[in-house]
This record gives sequence, C-alpha cells and structure tokens, in this order.
Amino acid sequence: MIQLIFYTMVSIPLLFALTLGLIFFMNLPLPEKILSLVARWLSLIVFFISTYLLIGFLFFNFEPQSMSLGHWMHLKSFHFDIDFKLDRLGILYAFLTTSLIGIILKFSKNYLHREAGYFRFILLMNLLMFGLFICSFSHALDLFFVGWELVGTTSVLLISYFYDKNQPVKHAFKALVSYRICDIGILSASALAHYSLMTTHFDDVISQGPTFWGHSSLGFIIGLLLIFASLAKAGQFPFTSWLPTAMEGPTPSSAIFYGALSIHLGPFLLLRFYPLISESYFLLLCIGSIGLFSAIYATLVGRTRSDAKTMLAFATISQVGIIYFEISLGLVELAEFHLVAHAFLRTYQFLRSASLIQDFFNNPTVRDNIFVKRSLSIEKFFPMSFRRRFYLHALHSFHLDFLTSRLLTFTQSSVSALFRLENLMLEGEKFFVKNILRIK
Amino acid sequence: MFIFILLVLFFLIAKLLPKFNLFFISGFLILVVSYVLLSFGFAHELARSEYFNFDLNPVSLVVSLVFSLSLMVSLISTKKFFTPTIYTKQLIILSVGIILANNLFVFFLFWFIQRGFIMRQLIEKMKSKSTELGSSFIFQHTIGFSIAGYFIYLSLMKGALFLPFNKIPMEFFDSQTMLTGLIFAFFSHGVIPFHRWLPDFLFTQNWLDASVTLMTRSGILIFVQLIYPHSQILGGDLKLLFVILCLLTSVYWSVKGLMDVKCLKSLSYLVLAQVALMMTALQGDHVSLMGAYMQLIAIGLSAPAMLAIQSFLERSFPLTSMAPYLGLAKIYPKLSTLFCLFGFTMIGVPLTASHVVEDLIINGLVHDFPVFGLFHILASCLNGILFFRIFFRYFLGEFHEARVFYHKEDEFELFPLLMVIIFLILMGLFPFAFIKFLNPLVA
Repeated sequence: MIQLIFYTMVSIPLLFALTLGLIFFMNLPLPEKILSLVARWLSLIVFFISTYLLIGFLFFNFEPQSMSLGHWMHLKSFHFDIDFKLDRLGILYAFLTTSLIGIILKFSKNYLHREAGYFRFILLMNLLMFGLFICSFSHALDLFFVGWELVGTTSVLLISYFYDKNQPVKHAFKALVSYRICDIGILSASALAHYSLMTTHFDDVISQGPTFWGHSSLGFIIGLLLIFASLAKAGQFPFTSWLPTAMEGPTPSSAIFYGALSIHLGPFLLLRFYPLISESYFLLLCIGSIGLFSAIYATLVGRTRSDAKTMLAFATISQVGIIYFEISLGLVELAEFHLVAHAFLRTYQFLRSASLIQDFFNNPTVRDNIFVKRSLSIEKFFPMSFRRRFYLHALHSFHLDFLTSRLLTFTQSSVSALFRLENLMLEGEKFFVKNILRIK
Repeated sequence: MFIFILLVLFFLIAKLLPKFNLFFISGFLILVVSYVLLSFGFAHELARSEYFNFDLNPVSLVVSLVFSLSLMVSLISTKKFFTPTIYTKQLIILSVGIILANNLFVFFLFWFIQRGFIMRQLIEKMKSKSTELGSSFIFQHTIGFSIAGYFIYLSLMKGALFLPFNKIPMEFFDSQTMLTGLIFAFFSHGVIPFHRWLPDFLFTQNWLDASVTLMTRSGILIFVQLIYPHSQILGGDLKLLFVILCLLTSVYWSVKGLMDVKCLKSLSYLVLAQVALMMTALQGDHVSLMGAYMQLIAIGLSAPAMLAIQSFLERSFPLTSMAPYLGLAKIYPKLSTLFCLFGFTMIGVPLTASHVVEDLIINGLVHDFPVFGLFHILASCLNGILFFRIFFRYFLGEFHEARVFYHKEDEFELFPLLMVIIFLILMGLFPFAFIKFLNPLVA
C-alpha cells in the first residue's frame, strides 16, 4: 500500500509536466485559471501524501522501505537500477519540497497573474518537484544524479525566466557553468564507485566498511568528489558568486531555488553520504573549513549589499555554510533541523522581499527608519581606516569575481596563442595546395 | 537486385518530386524496406558478384535507419529554401553505397568517389571565388587517400580486398593492417591530427550535403565491422593513445566553439566534439561500445535536426553572428523549445537518450582507462556548456523589434522534428528496450 502511495506521489509531477509539454506542442488552449487550479490541486495531493508518510515515520514507527523498479539498464557487469529508499531523511526532504512548492504555487497564482511565462513556470516547477523526489528517495548515486541534474537544468531555465532581457540570460549561464563544473564531481564519484565496487547502491557502498572509505585512496577521492559536487548547488566557496546574481528570475522561483530547495541539496547530499564521509577526518575537516569560510565570507560581503534579495542570498550562503559546519562536527540531527527551519524561513523572507520596501514606504510610522542599522559592537574595536578598507574589500566580494575573470582571460589568451600556432600549419597547407598541387 | 530496385525507386521519386518530398519519402522508403527485409530474414547478401558485395547486416541497418531519419528531419529546412542539386543526390547515393558495402573494395570505391566529388566541387569553388577555404581539406585528403591506398594495397596483397567482411581470415589482422585501418577510421572522423579538414568541409558545403556525407559515419563502419573485433592486437598503450587523441579532439572543438560567435560554426563545433566523444567510446569495453552505438543514433538524429533548425533560422532571420543576444525564442517559441530539447538529447540531460549514452560510455571507459575515463566527463561537461551558450545566445536575450524576419514556424514542418524528439526521449526513458535490441549487434 505504501509503495503504491509512494509511486503515485513521485509520478504525479512527471506526468503533469509531460502532459503540459504535449499541450504546448499541440497548441491546445489551456486557460491560466484552469492551469493554476490543476497545478495547485495536484500539489495538494502530493503534499497530503508526503505529510502522511512523514507522520508515519515520526509518530508511528514506519520502517524504512527499499523499493525497486528493476534494471533501467543492464549490460554485463554494469547495471543501473531504479531503486528507491523510503527513509526518514528522504521523506523529510520530500515533505519540505511538497509543502514549499504548494505555498509557491499559491503565491504565484496572483504574483504571476497574466505573465506570458506562467505556463512555463508551472511546467518547470513540476519537473523540479520530480527531480527533488528522485534526489530524496534515490538509493544509488546513479539515480541521485538524474534528480540532481533535473534540478540544475530547471534552475537554470528559471533564472532565465525573463528570457527577453539580456541580464537574466547572462546570469543563468553563469549559474549553469558553476553547476556543470561541479557535476563533474558527482559523475566521477559515480563512475569510480562502479569501477571499484561494481555498484553505486548506497547500502552496498556503506557495507564496504570503514577500511575502504577511511584509508583507501579511492574511497577518499570519491568522498572528495562528492564534497566538490555539493559546492555549486549550495553556493559554497569558491562557487558563491552565481547565487546573488541568480535572483533575476521571478520571486517565487528565487524563493524555491535559492532560499529553500535547490540550495539545500548540497547539504542533503552530504547528509545522505554522512556514514561514508564520517569515516575520514580529513573529509570532515574539508567540509567544516569550507562551510565556516563560506559563512564568514558571505556574512561580510552580505553586509555591504543594499538590496533585499542580494542580502538574503548572502545570508542564505552563510546559513548553509553553518549547516556544513554542523555536519562536519557530526551534529547530523541538528543539521537536518537547521536545514528544514532555514528553508521555511528563507522562503517566507524571499516571498516577502518583493513587497517589503513598498510596505515600508507606505507606512508612516517607519518611514524615516527604513535603513536598518547594521553594526556590531565588535567592529568598534578596529580603527576606522581598517574598517573602511575592509568594507571596500567586502564590497568587491574580496575580489573573487575579479580573480575568476582574470583566470578566464588568462585561459582564453593561452588558448588563442595555441590556435595562432595552429594557423602556421594552415599556412603550410595553403602553400602545399597552391605551389605543389598548383590549385589556385 | 535490391540496390538496383532501390536506386530506380530513388531516381523515380527524385524525378517526380524534386523538392523536399524526395528526402522525406526516400528516407521513409529505406526505413520500411530495411525493416521488412530484416523481418523476413533477407538480412544478408543483398547483391553479390565477385567484386561487388552489398549486405544489410545489423550494423548497416542501424546506420541506414539513422541516415534515413536524419534525411526526414531536414524537412523543415529543405521545404522552403532548398532545391536538391544533382550533387546532393550523388552524395546520398554514394552514402547509401558506403553503408551497404560488404567488402573493402566496394567500401573504398564509394568512399573514393564521394570524396572525389567533394574535392572537385571544392576546387571549383576555390577557383571561382578565389578563396583559400578548402586548402586543409585538399591537403589532409591527400594524406587520407594515401592511407586508404596503403590499406587497399595491404588487403590486396593478403587477398582480403574482395572478401565479405565476415569472411576475412584472422591472418589479415596483424598489427600493421590494424594500425593503418585505425588511422583511416580516425582520419574519417577528423580526430587530431586529422581534424583540420572538417571545418573546411562544413563551411564550404551547405549543411545538408555536409550532413549527408558525415552521417554515413564511414569511420565507424570500417572500425566496427573490421577493426573492433580484433582490437586486442593493438595493445593497451596504443588504445590509450587513441583515447587521449579523441578526448583532445573533443576538447579542442568545444573550446573552439566557445570562442566563436558565428552560429553555424559554433553548432558545427559542438557536433564535432560530440562525434569525437563517440570515437573515444569505441576504445572501451562492451558497455562503452553499446554507448557508442546509442550515441551514433542520438547524434545522428539530433545533429541534423539542430542544423536544420539553424539553417531555417539563418534564412528566415538574416543574422549569423551571436555576438549580441538574438532573442529568437520570442518569434519562434516552438522551434527554440525543440532546439533546446535536441541539445538536451546530445549533452547528457537525464530523461533523454544522451544521459543513457553518457552513463554507458563513462562507465565502460573507466573500466578500461580509469583516469582518462574521467577526462571524458570533463569533455562532455565542456560540450554541455557550449550547447547552452549557443542556445542562450541564439534564442534568448533581447529581441530588437526593428529586426526583420521572413518566415514563421510551420506546424507541419515541425512534425518530423517532434516525432524524432519523442523517439529520443523514449530512448532515454526506456533504455533497456533499446539495449536489448542493440545487444546482439554489439555482441
């Protein structure tokens, strides 16, 4: 029975997205009102299912269940199975997904009313939900990647939601590049797991025990690759710069991606693999240092920003950094709680940010006091010249963007030099054709 | 006899329906006839004489199916703008000949004639337009002809030139023959250092002629039918060298594409980069070979479709540079969606054919070459970035209302593209069915 409920929950968003895709290509008329109504009702159904499962796990001691749809691909020693595991962490993230997407769909009914891209928004939201379900319940790294990549692709397409403006498109591309670079991590980890263990099934990998993961170099490399993979989605150092610029999309999508669900997939990946990663102190140290560094960096930079959404973006990076730090200390349950609470709070803040400034200006009691005073007592211990200089560096994001662009320019000029060398070969070929073959 | 009937039918259709229907119907014809022949057990020995031997075996069947479908997806571009010349028809017939060839003599005969036609046309263009574009093609093909000539010489000396592929004796496959054959296969696919003829070829032909010629994948055919079953003779180090060369080629084209602003060039570089990755897969084990076959289908269908869309847009909207964002999605929403989906079926996005392909190739390659298998991931990541760059610059961004466009997207013309994309998505959703179908062929 639980299996049937589970498969219903997972398949609803995929089937709805596919139906919308067909409607688009067949030019069938679908009024916004009906689209919105169907989307919200379906999200409500999915929400009730996830709530039922969560309550079951929290209060009625549901046992974790493994489910399999069999081989998706099977060829000699290589097999890709569609295996799911219904456990506490998975259902917690699925509950977070369904509840927040439900709220967002309700919010966007008015917010995106008569927007040309509303249809696209609903389609991408459903694909996102499907991707997140796959991530939440997948029981192997291969399958996890399917959801991971779907989330990334929908995320990029939603940043460029206002596709008729140049700026959102540029920022979407920036996010995409970060995502693709870090996807190398998860793909490589999966390939290496197949190579060394002949499987990427979580249970099989965990059963290899601490010897493999703690001391062998391959286990250590896989762990490092997984940490690397998590960085772009979570906006952690050095992949911090895409997140604040990704706020070009509509507010509901910013809320769902960068406040709530997409950004927490990074820590979720680490929590999924915690039993493996925790075998190596060095990996834990890596996670802790990256988290702590990102948190400090984002706090400092965020304090120099003046618009609400960018400040929220840096605050999000900072909090996710703290979640990383908690994971590295072994405080897994605290990290899970922090993740859920932070996702809900940030969604509320992002959704509120659009109307906040207007409310401040229309409210005579706070009219003169809209600029929040942002100073910490610790700042007073430093001399003013140091504070000013430090502020300036923070304002420039500690030159991270500058360094990245310099690196890109350097790479581009090196490659151009190589291509110039190749042009010499072209000249030789032209000489041969002209003077030896006598073709002019 | 079969070939004769097919050619007569082809010319009849060409005569009666000189425009786009030619491609649609001839493609469909090859598809149906091939299927019927295979179903009734006529799969072998289509035509045979002492020298001329044609065969419809599983390998040539798959390639001909891809070839036929790739002609069908060209409908969108061919209907309005393109009247096939005798040159295009010649290329199509010669490509069919290469696909169905069942001995080295027939294969190389068709190959030489095809490349000869192309070279003649290039020389004419060079003379009439006083351009130097084409020099690399001529120079590298001079080398290519020498390699092919040496291979023919070796096979003639060893008595294998006229033998059907499956009857060539084991003694033929010594290291010298294998190495020459492999170099020829790499030359055909434009793998470094034989990569420079491809841009010359692509940018001097119209896309359909280029697509028709490249779709035969002559390198793949000769490799799979002849070399792969005996590739252990080559030894591990040599195979590793070839993997490195293929990966380098893919990265080279991707970087070149990322640095270019011309729509057609960038897109062509993307296709070339993907093809190089397919050649990488051929160096791996059984799993990656399956990936290569599926990649052949995925690229074979999505690349002509993307090129056809690009060609349609280039003629509808006279801008060839992507330096400013063109924002064509505003005018062509469905075409842009299809272009995006075809790109997804190429770069490894889940729920499409390419995801399955990548999984198979990477895992197969890592099994044999753990380190360089991982470099394959890097190369495919670069390709993904290149595709998104093309898509974003071409279809997204600000559309200037003052710009003129001449043709609207037509629902009827989109139909073949839609069918093909559904096929590629089904391939991604139910890969086990395709693997089951292709497994005997790979085995």
